[in-house]
Amino acid sequence: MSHRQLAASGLEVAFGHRRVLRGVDLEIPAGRRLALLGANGSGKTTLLRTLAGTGRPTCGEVLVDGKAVDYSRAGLRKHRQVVQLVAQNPDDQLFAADVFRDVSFGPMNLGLPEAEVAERVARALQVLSIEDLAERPIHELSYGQRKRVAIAGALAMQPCAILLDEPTAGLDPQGVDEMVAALDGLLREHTTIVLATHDVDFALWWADSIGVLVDGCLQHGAPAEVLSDAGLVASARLRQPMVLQVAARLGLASGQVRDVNSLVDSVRTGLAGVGFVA
Amino acid sequence: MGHSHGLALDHAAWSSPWRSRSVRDKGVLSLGLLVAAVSLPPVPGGVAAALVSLVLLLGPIRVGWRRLGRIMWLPLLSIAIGGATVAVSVSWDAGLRLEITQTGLITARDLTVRAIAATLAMFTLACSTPMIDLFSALRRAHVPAPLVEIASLIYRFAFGLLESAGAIHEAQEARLGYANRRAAMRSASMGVSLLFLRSWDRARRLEDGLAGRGYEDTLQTLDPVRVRSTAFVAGGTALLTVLIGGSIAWELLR
Repeated sequence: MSHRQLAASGLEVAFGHRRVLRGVDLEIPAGRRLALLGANGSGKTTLLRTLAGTGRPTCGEVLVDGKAVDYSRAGLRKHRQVVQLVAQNPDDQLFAADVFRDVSFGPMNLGLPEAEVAERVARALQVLSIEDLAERPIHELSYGQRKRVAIAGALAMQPCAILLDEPTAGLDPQGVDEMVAALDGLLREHTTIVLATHDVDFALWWADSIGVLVDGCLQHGAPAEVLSDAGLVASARLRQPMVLQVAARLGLASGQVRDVNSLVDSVRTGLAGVGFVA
Repeated sequence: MGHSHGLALDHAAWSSPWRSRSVRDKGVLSLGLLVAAVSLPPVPGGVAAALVSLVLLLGPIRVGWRRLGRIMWLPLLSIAIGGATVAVSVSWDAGLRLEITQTGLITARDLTVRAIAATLAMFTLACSTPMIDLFSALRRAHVPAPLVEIASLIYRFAFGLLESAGAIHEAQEARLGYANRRAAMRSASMGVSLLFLRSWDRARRLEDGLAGRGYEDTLQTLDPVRVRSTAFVAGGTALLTVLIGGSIAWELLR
């Protein structure tokens, strides 16, 4: 799998008179994790669809290794081998009766030999730890299982980047853990991951960088830096992650705080600094 | 999920140990039993074919009595109605007259035995083969791909449609949408129109999703490898030979 850099330059998307994206510039280095945050209707899904080539920008360009996406049939075919989108609702992309057949759909469309398709399906199911589901009918799977099957379908295309629309939405805590394990599997494959989410706590500890969409404009940076900006967080109708709120109340520097463990470490360091040994 | 006739059949097919066998192997056995059921004398040939099918369904195919009951009640009801209709003869010579004759009873018995045997024979295939494997077999048999694709999609989304229809009905019922006849009519019509709109929207989103996975004009997928066993076919053929031979010998020796 080759790894390529996905970027957007001056991306604008309008539906009628409504401008959903306004001049979005973005660079996603290969193998990195980007979380997109924003209120409902802020344009997260539109941005993902546009990056995936499913939607076409009104203005601006989506770039792969600096080259603009070609929206011809052949161009899109090529782009889909680089970028894959996983919809929020898995039923928007699962159509076959069982898992094996559904995951094989993309590679079959690439015209690969059957042996290679079977190999890719087996690999995708293995990466997501769902080999046991291969022969199961999709209509009997749980919502979380269907979400992971949808990701396997994208992974079987062996893209450089996978874009996930709210992968943890609607999942119970165990389902979220299984999804995180699935994302870890993708990262071990050195796949670039861009995901849209409302879960600020998850975004803080998981992502390498965070993008926040407000009124169609994207602001991005390091997770703690972006999410410590109270004004930006409020204007995006989000709330600050719990650990950052606690860190702020304790007067700790938020730069190192990403989760409960790093918060505890910061507290211990602070206490050690004043001579208190915990 | 409910346990109606169709869903019970689907569960049986997906959970059968024979699911991994090839459609060809199972088809030879099932078709042979079907031919025996309709062409041999009902007693003992039809009865024997029915018994063999029943043993296969409850034995290696592992359908289970309860599930078999849920699967079979509807065809049995239909066969019973057909048998009763044949048993009773109607005449208009001196006004309407219903009578049960010896000939009618024998014909009804033969018909019932054959119909039950034929149904059980078909269920040996249906209860061990998910619908999608049958569609794949049809595709390999050169049935036009668009027809097979449409049938596969209908099969796949029938479950989602049933779920949506159930959820809509439940929500309407909770708000007294079926409290009286008038409300029921209104709720049912609104439910159907909502279901249509949802199906339309879902189809549009699915088309988008599939386009992202490289869909152009066909929904081609790779079929999982199925076990082809010469021993299984030979065993099935031997069983059918014994069944047919035994039945013919019975007739000749009688």
